[in-house]
Amino acid sequence: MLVKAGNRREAGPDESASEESVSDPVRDLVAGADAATRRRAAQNLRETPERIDLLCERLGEEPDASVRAAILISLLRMKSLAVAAGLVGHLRSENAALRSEVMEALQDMPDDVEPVLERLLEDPDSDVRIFVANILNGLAHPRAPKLLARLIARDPHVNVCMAALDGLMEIGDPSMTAAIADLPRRFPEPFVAFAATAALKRLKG
Amino acid sequence: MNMPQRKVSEIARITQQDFEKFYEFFYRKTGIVFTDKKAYFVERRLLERMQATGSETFRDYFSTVRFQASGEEWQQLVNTMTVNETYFLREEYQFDAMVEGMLPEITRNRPTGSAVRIWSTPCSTGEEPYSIAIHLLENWKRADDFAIEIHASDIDTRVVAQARRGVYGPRSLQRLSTALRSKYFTALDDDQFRIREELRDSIDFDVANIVDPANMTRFRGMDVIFCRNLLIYFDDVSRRESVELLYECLNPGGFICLGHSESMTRISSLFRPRKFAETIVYQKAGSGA
Repeated sequence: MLVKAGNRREAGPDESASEESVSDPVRDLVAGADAATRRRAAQNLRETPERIDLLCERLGEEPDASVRAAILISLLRMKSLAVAAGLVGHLRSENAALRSEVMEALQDMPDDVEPVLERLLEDPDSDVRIFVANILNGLAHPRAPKLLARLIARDPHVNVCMAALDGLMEIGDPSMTAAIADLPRRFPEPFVAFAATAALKRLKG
Repeated sequence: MNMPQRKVSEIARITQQDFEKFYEFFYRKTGIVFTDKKAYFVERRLLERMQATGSETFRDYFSTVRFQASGEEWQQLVNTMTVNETYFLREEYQFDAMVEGMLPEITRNRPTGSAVRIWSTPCSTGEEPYSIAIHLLENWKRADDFAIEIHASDIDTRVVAQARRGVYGPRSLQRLSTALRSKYFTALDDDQFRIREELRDSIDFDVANIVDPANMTRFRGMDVIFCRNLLIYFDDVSRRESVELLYECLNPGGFICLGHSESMTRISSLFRPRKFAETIVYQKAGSGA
C-alpha cells in the first residue's frame, strides 16, 4: 500500500555506518572502518586545499571504488595545478582501475592539467606517455591537438604515436598532415600505414 | 555567449566526414547514436548552432564545442539534439522492470509491512511519480505487503507546486487508457483532469537540488531511484558528483533508472548494469534484502 513518508525517516542499511565519527575527517579517511565512513570523510574534505596531498596519497591506498570516487570529486572541486600534479603520479600505478579513474578526473580539469601533461610528453616511461596521449585525446583544451601533434612528430615509440594519432583523427587539422604522413616511414609496419592513411583522409575532409 | 549570428547561406556545407566525426563524438560523450538516417535532423540543428555561434565552418564550430572550457556550447548542443517532454507512463518499460525485476529482488527477504522507498527526481510536474504509483497499484502483486513510500523532488519550486496540484491536460494523459483515467482522475472543466486525492496525498513532493549534499541527506535509504533525462544536461564534474550523491542515497542492492539515451557506464563504475524486462538499470553493490 502507498504510504506518505512525512517526517518518519529511518536510516537505510548503508547509513548505519559510523555517522558519529565525521568530526575528524582526516582520521576517518585514513582509518575509517567502513567505506561509508571513509566516503563521508572524503566529502567533508571537499573545501580543504591543505589536504590535497593527503587526498592524493589516500587515493593510491584506498581499496573501495566508491571512496576513491568521493576523493576524486573532492579533488576536482579544488582543482588546481597542485591537484593535477598530485594525480598524475597515479598514472604509474599498477592498478588499472585507479589509473582509469585518475585519467577521467584529469580530463575534467583541462586548464590545470595541460601544463603538467606538456612536461610528461618527455617522460622516459612510454606507458606514461601513452596515458598522456589518451588524456589529451579527450581534453577540452585548445592546445591538446598541438601537444598530440608534437608526440606524433617526435616520440620514438610507435604505440605512443598511435595513441596520439587516435586523438588527432578527431581534433587534428590540416597543418598536422606532414607529421602524420611521415609516420609510415618512421615505423614501417602495415597497421601504421593503414592508420596514417585513414587519419589523413579524415583531416583533409 | 555573445557571438555574431551568421546567415545559413554564409555557412560552409557540412561534409560526410564532418557528419561522421560529429556522430562519433556525440556518441562518445552521450551514448546517443545518430546515423545518416537522421542526417537531416542533425544538419538542421548543427546549422542552427553554427549560426548562433557565428561559425563559418563545421570545423570552427566543432573546435568551439570540443575545446570550450566552460562547456556552455556543448550543453546548448545537447539541449538542441535531445527532445524532452513528460507525460504519464513515459518509458513504461522501466516501470515493468521495476515490478517484474527490481522490487521482487529487493523485497525477497524483507518482512511484510516493512518500507519500500522509491524516489523520482527530477519529478517535473508530477507525471512520473504518479505513473510509478499507478503502475505499482495496477501491476505489483505484492503492493499491499509493504509500506511503499514514493518520494518526488525537483529543483524548480514552480513545477513541484504544479505536481502537488495534480491537474493535467489531455497531452499528459495521452498514454493512459480510459479505464485508468476514470479510476485515478476526476474530470474538470476545460479538458483538464485532476489526480484523485488519495493518490496525490500518498506522494511526498519536495524541492531539492541533487548536487547539494545537504539536500540529499533526507533522501537516504532509497530502494529504487528514477533519475531520467537529467544527468545528460550536467557538466562532467556535476554529473560525477550527482551520481556519487545518488549512490549515497541508495540502499545496498538498490537500483537507479536513467533515461533511455543515458548510460551510467559513461559516468561511473560504481554501479553494476542489470537487464530487466526490456531495459538496463544500474544496481549498487550489496544485498538490499
